[in-house]
Amino acid sequence: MKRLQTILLVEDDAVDRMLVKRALSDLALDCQLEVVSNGETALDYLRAGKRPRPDLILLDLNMPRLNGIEFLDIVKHDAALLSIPVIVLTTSREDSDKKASFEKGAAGYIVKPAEYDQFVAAMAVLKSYWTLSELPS
Amino acid sequence: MSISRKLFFILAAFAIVPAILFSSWIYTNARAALSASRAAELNALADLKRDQIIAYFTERKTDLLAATELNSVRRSLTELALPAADRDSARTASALLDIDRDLQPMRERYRYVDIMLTDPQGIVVYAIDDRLGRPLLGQPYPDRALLERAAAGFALAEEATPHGVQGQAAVDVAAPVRTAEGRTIGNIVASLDLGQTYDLVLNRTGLGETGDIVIAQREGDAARLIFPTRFDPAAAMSRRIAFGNVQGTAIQLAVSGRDGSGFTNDYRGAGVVAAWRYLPEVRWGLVTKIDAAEVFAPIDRLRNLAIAFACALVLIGFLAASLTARSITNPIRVLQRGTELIANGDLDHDVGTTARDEIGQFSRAFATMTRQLKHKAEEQERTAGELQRSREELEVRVQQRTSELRQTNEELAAANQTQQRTQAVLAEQTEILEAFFAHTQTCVVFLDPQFNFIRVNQAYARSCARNVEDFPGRNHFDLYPSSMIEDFRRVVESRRPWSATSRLFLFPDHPEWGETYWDLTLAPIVDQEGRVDYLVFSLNDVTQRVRDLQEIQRAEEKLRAAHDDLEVRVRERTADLNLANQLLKREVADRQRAEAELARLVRELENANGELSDFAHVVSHDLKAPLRAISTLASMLAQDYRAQFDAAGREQIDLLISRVRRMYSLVDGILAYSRLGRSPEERTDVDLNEVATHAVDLIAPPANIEVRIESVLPSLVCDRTRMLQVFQNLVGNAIKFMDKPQGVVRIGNASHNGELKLYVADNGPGIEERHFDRIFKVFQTLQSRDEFESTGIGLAIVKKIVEAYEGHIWLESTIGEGTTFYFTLRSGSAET
Repeated sequence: MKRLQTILLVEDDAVDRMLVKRALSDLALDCQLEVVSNGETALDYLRAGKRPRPDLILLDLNMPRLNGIEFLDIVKHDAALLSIPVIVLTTSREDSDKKASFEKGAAGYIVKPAEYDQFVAAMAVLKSYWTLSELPS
Repeated sequence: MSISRKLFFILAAFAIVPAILFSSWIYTNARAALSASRAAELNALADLKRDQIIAYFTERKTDLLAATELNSVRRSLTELALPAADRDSARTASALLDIDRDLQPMRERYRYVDIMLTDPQGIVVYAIDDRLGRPLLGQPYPDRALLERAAAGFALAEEATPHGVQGQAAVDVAAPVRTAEGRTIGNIVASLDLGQTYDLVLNRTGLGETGDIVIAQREGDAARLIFPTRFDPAAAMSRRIAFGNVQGTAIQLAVSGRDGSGFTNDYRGAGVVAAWRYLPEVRWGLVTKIDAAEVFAPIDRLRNLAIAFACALVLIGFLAASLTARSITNPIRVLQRGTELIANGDLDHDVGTTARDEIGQFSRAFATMTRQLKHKAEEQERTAGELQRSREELEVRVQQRTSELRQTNEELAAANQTQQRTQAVLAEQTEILEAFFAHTQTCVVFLDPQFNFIRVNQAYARSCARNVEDFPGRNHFDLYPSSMIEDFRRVVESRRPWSATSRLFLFPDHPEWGETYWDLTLAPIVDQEGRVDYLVFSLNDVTQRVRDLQEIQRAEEKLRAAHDDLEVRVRERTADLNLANQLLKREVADRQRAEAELARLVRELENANGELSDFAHVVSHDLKAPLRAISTLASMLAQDYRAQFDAAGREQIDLLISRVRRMYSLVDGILAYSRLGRSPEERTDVDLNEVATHAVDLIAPPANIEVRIESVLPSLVCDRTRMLQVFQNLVGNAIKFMDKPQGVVRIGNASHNGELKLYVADNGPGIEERHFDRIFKVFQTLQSRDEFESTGIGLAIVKKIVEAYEGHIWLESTIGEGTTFYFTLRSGSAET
């Protein structure tokens, strides 16, 4: 199994960005992290077909302009993009948000806790992800 | 057991068996006696024979010894003993002639087979017999031992040998020949033919048919018969019986040196009575014997006879028993068969016999009885026959009568039926009347024309406070004198009924009853001739009615008076009421206005609340993000640059992190609190037991704290999440603040009277009464947050939820012992 090679992080908050980077390095997930700060920029990035194509998208829900749920909805309706797994990162514990995310096609839902160590533990799930090219057909 | 067998056993026991036993005893005794007497005879005979033999040998010894003294013998022996060279033939011849002259007649007289002379060395120098001795001349005498023993004076050969006449047994005897001076000059040896001894033996007087004398000499470990025997003529010097042989015990004993007598077996194995003797002088054994068969022959014949006799006796006994038995059982059987026949009905059968014994008598008596029975039976039959005839006559007459009777019966039956019907009707009517008489409330009295009581009913008796039985016979007007008597008399005269109403009567015997009023009716019962038979007097107590009427009259008067009075007052009141009405209308209008105002204020309040709630939600939500960032950054700073900080710096960073976390949880609390007002509720039928259990599971209490649900909690229509929160917060608090090593938290149901009341109790530190109100306020804690981290929101949330269900929450507590929180929920929908 090939490790994840590229992750696209869609996150507007600087501290949260730093958090994810730190968590990935603490988990020794050796992959390239592309960062965009909002949904529209993310869509441009994806549609432009820039290489490398991300194996995974980490998506913050609470963003200005295009919010997370809407972004997810668009991606999952785009034939070229819907195969990329999207994991939602959010502060909200609300069942309604969780339900909405999964309905829209999220592959996972990680709640950002206040404790950093808990966050790392939650992120550890990434270690089990296939790369796009290794996905069974 | 049958009679015959019984008889046989008796016979056997008392006659046959004793007889047999006695005979056996006699036989045994006789046998023994016979044996003994024969043995005695044989003993005597043996002794006699022994003496004879010994005498014979003694004679021969004497002869021989005499011979040794003969001059001729001495002279000759001296001469013949000389060596050949010294011998003078003439002298030798003359010596020989001398000896011949003496010895030859001796030989013939005593039947010596031979007489020989030997020199002192044992060489035979003289012999007479051509066959025996002569061949030995000049040679040593064979039996040297004999010659040596002879030196003692006389010797007999150890063994007899068959060198006698015709091979008969002979025994050598020897004696030394001595000079007058006593010098031994040789021996004289004579062979003694034992034929003479045998002649003695041959004398079988007293020995019956089978008796015999057996003589044997010892040869090593056997006995050799010397003479022929009665049953074995060839036995002489040949038949040998080895010691230990089971046959010939007697002769073995005899040659072994023993004397005796008794019952034993002989050399041919036959049982014999014998006497045995040892003859030491000749070393012979002598046996006189007779076959036991011959000895016991007479007694055995007797025995056989006795046995035959006994058998005959047994047989006869058996036969006798059988016959006797049969003589008894046969007549009995005949009798039995006869009885059976009689029992089966044949009364003519005669079981009587002519026998004179008891059975015969019995049979005759039985026959007599049978005859009598038969007579009786015949009589019975005759009687039965007559009876039959009479019955038949009777039958006919009966039939006639029966038909007559049937007719009459039918007529009677019809009449009966009619009568019965009438009676039934009558009875019914009587019953009705009696019932009526007894139960009616109307007093009914039957009087005779003289006004004496005939009968009264219960109602009358009751009203007079007497018993029904008290009246019959007494006179009405003696008991209750009154002016009515005139009316009564008129009724009797006129024969027409009379009645009166509300007639006053005072009971003379009960003045305490006062005035009583009665409705009365007196009716005559008139017979066909117009005479008055009875009077029926009925009364009704109308005292109450009269009194009531009086009351009514009085009341009516009062009413009229009151009525007038009332009219006046009514007019006054109406005026007052109109005034009051007007005032009331004005008040109602005011109230309606106030209610409208209230509704408006409520709406405003709700709006404000909603806004506040939204505000709180938004604020707390939006506050949380930067707070989280601060917390994260502070942690990362602490982690990454820990080494570069000094102690003061690290302490500050740690305080920073703790304060940030506190703020985070406070904001979380506000968020939770505010959500209570916003989020929609899902009302379902919730089982509170399950919710409480779930809440405890979520909390996961530590090992030293036991949380238990003490009673069954009810179900309730409510929002499950809210209820869960209530239990989580209350139980969570109890656990969080527990100060005892063994904590106990109890959840229970204290509902009653339809009100749903639950409680959560702990054995924690307790709460002071002055704080009871504060703790339910938002952010209120009882300890500083530095001492104990707590948002202070939990109870505020619980209170909000409980009050949303129109309930109340309160607590009771004892410092140091524990606290109990009680809360009620909307009582209407609770199902206990």
